Amino acid sequence: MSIITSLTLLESIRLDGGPAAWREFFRRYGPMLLGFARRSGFSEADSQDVVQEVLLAVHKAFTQMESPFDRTRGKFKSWLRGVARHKVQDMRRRRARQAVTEREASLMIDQALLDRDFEFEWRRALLIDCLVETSRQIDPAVYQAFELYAIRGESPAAVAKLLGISRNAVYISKSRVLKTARQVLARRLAEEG
Amino acid sequence: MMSSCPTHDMLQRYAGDDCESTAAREIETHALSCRRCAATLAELTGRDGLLEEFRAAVEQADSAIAGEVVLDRLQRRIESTLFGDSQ
Repeated sequence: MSIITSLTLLESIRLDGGPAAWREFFRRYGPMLLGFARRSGFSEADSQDVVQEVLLAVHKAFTQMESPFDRTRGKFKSWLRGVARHKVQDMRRRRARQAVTEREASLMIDQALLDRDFEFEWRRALLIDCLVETSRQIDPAVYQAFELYAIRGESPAAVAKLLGISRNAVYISKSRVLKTARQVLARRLAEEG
Repeated sequence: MMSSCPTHDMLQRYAGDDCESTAAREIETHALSCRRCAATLAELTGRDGLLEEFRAAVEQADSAIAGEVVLDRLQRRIESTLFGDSQ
């Protein structure tokens, strides 16, 4: 399943709003949002509070409004980014009121920086998702060779021995998997709009 | 089947996903039995920016595994707020 927006999932949250749909929503967006909050410079506890506030706001929007997110008016990603940025700014305002040092006060707000952090986390989640999808489209041994050799930096000889394939096949796995991954990524980006 | 090694340009285009599928298959088949071409392909893709991004993303995901307990706890906390403790 994709970590990046599935309209079906969004619709099921709107219509159902129950724990199962939310568990799936959290699985997809929770880690990414937590990464975003942490990058914003909060403590671990504040980062988790921000994620909770974002998800509660999303839940409220999806269950109380007819159509909180209209695909024709923009991307879900932009909408979620707006909600997340707003909650980060809220938290920063709260913390700034308690701030005792200049550094803490300086955390107050650079919107462009927040957008950049959100994009960074979103892209990272998208890349992991692309690798998962790619691994399902490729021969398992080829993908494993790619992961061990190209991603984790094992030597071609060690990977060849471990998987019982030729060293050349290990070399080729890198370009074969990357080729597929590039296509998957291009499609995902096109779907994202 | 290719009788001789593909040119460097062809290998470069293959690595950059800029060659049609029949040619790509031929290059792959050739490289399976040609150490030099296989190594060149590996080297060409080694400089791939996307691969660097994948490496960084996987590295981060690996370190996030240690944070799964945190995520699990956070998920339960949010569910409890949304749906009560019966969930």
